[in-house]
Amino acid sequence: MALSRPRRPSPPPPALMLDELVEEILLRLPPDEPAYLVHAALVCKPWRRILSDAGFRRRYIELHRSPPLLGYIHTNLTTCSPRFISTSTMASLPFSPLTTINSWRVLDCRHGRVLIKNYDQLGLIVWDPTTGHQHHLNMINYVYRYFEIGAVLCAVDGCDHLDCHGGPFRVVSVGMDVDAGPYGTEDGVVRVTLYSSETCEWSNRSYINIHPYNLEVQRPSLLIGDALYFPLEYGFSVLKYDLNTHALSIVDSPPVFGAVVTTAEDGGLGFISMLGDSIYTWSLLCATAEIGIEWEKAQQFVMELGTLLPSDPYRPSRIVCSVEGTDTIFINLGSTRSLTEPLPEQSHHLLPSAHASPCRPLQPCRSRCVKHSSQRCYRFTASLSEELPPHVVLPHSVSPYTPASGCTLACCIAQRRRPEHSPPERSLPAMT
Amino acid sequence: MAAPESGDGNNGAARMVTLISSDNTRFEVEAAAASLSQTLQLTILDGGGGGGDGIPLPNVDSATLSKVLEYCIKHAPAAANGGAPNATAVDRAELERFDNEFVNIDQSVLYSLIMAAHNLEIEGLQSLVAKKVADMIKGKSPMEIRRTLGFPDPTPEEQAEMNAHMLEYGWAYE
Repeated sequence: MALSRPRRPSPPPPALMLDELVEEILLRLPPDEPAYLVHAALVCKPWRRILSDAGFRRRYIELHRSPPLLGYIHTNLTTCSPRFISTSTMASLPFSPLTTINSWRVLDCRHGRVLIKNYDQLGLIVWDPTTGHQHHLNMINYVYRYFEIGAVLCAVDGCDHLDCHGGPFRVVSVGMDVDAGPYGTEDGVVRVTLYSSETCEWSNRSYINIHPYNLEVQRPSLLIGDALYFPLEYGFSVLKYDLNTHALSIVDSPPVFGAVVTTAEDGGLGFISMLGDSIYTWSLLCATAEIGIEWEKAQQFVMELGTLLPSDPYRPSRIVCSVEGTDTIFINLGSTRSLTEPLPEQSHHLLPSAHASPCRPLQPCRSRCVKHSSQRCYRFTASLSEELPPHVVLPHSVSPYTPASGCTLACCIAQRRRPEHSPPERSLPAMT
Repeated sequence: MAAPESGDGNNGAARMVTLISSDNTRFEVEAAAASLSQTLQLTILDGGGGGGDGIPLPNVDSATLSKVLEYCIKHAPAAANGGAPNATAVDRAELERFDNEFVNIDQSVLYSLIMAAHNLEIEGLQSLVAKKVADMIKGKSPMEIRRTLGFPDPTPEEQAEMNAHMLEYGWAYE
């Protein structure tokens, strides 16, 4: 009955005239497609008002812990001009392209900001893809000779990152030099420097001695509590940078090849690794200065790789990174054979292979949810033959700006998945 | 149809309450089921609804109330277990199956249900129906959403505003 179109204007159904009920409905639009909320905002003025309300945004985030995935920034090392690949199935969201520079690389994405290394004019840029704002950082007064990695994060204490666009942020630059004079030619030294957008100054330089060629330049950092973790080469250890004390330390990984840092069930540091058809999670058992760190392998769960991914004993699949604040991990398919059948779960985009010709079309990426024993759910997003993990853009609020009406449609939204508790107080002894 | 004795809850006989719809139809239901409604729970805790009195619900007609009670009766055991932490996977799957079929109904009934769930403060039901309506509109253009939900056609001013917004995003109209 309600489906038939009325011949003449009449009010909407009574249930849809109550703001509270409309809010209940709009709250349940899935967050994985940001355009849903934008479309809803265009239905009528009352809906627009509901969606623009800060209270709505908060409730939406409480209800949907998993932030929407807006797309990937894919870096091809041969061209040094990454591409933004939107995963939205609808028309593009208003992302501003980074057209002013030709040669660049993404170092990090967090809190709706992207940290970019600009090779045109050596320097760093913090780019907000939803507003298009670019903050060019002044140069550090020494140049890293070998590797440079970094991290960007919101600088406001207790911020929920719902609307911190344009707010103060910090950048952590990590560089390695093996020719450091007093440390000898065999030893490397890692220097970490902190940038504040409020002072526009680099400060709090820390350093730590490290085995040469030890920085993993292509792995994203992980923020847990007040510490940033940077994976080191081969995943054997991680560099921990305490944002409060500026102390640096090395944390040993579990004794398994290819372990990737992730947030453990308890909110602290954890690892995830893959062996055969199984995924293992590791959480901290104990950490003492005498015996070092002991990791406990959590219950394994099986991915059913046989049907999910092509298996090739000579080129096994492996985990390349976990996405901060989500239950998503990226798996590099060792085999170049294509997936045999489409998977039933939600589709994203397949990242283009670094080895394929540039005109190769993007294929739908297969992803799949697998229930974990504790009901935590991982989404396995597979990419074919992709050596580098993508940087995943999970903006913490997308506010499509509509100059026509002069109002901002505050829509879509992301949030850390585990806001309830802070990481457990545990000290990880330095392993240097 | 005689109203059973108001049980004290300890002797195995479930306490029954009577609900009276806006069109004066009487429904007898276990107090546990009716208590899924936050509004009714207070009345029932005060001892209301038993015997011949009944609780009048002037905002809910009999067709809607019978549907609401169908939901409450199905969900009462799980709710009694405090969110059913020890419910088996089979139980949960069964409830899920029930929920899916339950909302597979005419849109006007959906609207009546969500209004009733709102008035009676039955959180689970309200959430279930809201999810169903959200699923109906996801992936649709603004005009399709309006039509799906039975909105009147937009006035020329509304239409112009929608077009302007959509142009802003580079979306084709519809």
